[in-house]
Amino acid sequence: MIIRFLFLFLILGIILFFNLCLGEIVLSPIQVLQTVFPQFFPANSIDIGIIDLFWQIRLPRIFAAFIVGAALAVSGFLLQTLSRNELADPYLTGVSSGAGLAVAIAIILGMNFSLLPIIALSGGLLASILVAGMAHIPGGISITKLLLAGIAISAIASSIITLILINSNTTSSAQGLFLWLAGSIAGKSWDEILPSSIYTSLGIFAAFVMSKAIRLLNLGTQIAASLGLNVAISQWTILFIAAILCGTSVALAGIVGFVGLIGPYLARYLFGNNERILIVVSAIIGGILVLISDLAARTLGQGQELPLSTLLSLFGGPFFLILVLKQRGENI
Amino acid sequence: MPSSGFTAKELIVGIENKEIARLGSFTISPGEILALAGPNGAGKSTTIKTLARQLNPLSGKINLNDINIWDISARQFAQEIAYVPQNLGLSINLSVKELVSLGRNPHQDWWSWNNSQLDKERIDNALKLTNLSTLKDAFFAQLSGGEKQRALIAIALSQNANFILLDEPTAHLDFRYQIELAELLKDLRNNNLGVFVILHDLSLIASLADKVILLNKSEGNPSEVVAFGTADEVLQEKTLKEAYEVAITKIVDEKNQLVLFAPRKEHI
Repeated sequence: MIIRFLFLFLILGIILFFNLCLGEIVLSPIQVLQTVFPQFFPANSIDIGIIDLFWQIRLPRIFAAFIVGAALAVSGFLLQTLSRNELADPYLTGVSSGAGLAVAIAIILGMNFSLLPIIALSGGLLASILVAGMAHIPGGISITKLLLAGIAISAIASSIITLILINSNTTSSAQGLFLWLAGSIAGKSWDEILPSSIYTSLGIFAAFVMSKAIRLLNLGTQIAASLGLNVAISQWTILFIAAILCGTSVALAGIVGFVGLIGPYLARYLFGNNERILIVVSAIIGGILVLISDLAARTLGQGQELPLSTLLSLFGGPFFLILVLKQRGENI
Repeated sequence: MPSSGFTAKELIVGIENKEIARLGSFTISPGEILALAGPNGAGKSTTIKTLARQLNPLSGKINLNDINIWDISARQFAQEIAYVPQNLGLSINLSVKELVSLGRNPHQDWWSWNNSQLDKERIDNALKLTNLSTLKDAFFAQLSGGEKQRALIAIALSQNANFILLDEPTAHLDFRYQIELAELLKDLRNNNLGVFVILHDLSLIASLADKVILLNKSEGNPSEVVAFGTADEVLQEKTLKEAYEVAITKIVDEKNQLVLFAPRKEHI
């Protein structure tokens, strides 16, 4: 277990290193060290532009990527617990689309950018309450109904977003909306990252506190209730945490797909079944996934950045299909 | 003076307002095994789920020590009453010990993973009573049907409740474990637990139960209690025929103190 953790942190370190160095302007490791630890690595002359690039562009971007990945992966993990299905993630359950729709409306209405996180969160929560309400059965939430309602909500929200895009009066707002929806973490300022990181940390901590309830719910609502768990309150709390995490990520980076699916899956595959470990590892793996995608998005695009979600969907889609095939005949 | 016991008064159970069975009134007393028997579809599982607070009764009351079970918290309820549902293809990704540890949940802080010395003793004891000590590190998914059933019972035992409700606990058990389960239930009774158990095997009921509720099944109508009393009173050929709508021969093996039941084809 410790070796696996060390390995995970090693990978995280390597990815962070590449993310710090690579980009339109390539920084050498020495330049990075000189910027971060000027007292230990004094430089004769270091370009003020490089310091700015590092502190104001590259580092915020890395933080944003990690926050988005961690929030989505833990959100996915929580939704998988609720639906008792490894295929659930913020997308399938409609939470992302709800948050996305809310933000789309806000952007078209020209609302202040600083309000976006709260709007996304409310949209995600509203969608999740709607989906959970439809999936509610006496004594818990029906897996099948949850997934079906989620798919329907996603479809409706996507259609409305498309209608908004087509009918928007100004090309600039439509373009802004399109870019945001495609998912991008470029140009995020510390002012945007700070609240997101607080929401994300609180969400992950809350998930950690709920870890025993999560284990009990994994036994099914019947056994969970008979072991003294207040099933309804626990399910709603977990859904709320999942919505906060997903909403935060959507507000920061738009709709980014499949992290909520792949993160928890790899965490389970590599680290077993302990919920507390899974929450932490899912967050780290989710962060790594988005860091890799962002690195690829800004280095492979030949001068133009690719949308973050394009790459994640390119690899996440087939991954999802493999999982579906694996589950066939089981409990899908 | 509050009466101790787990009591149902004029209980009617069902699902979504459809009456399934009319149970009348009965009490599960400490140190007593009460068996529920009857044909398939008579509403036995619906009854036990209602007693386990998983379903609302359609009518009537269920009291625990004179307090309505719906007026206490899930945690208080679980401290008093343990429920072992049928093992219907549960997919559980935990080791036996991790699973049985969860039986201590009603006695712990809801967020806490910490097992006290008492918790550990109860868990070990539950594993020992169900013969699972050697399998404690095995994963639930790898167990045989009978072992799974015993693991579910072990969770309830570590719960250390005063009453235990079991839904067909012998369903996956071969003869040897059926006998062991019967002995286990007798041990629980001797430790002053109240046991409510759904059983199909009438011979097992005859050898175990202090009291029996026998349900019938009539198409289109809710099931009714055909007989309620001691095993001897209830398990008569006449009442059994009424309940199961098939003639049943009762054979007494006095040497081994066994009562055997066999259905027979009979032209009516």
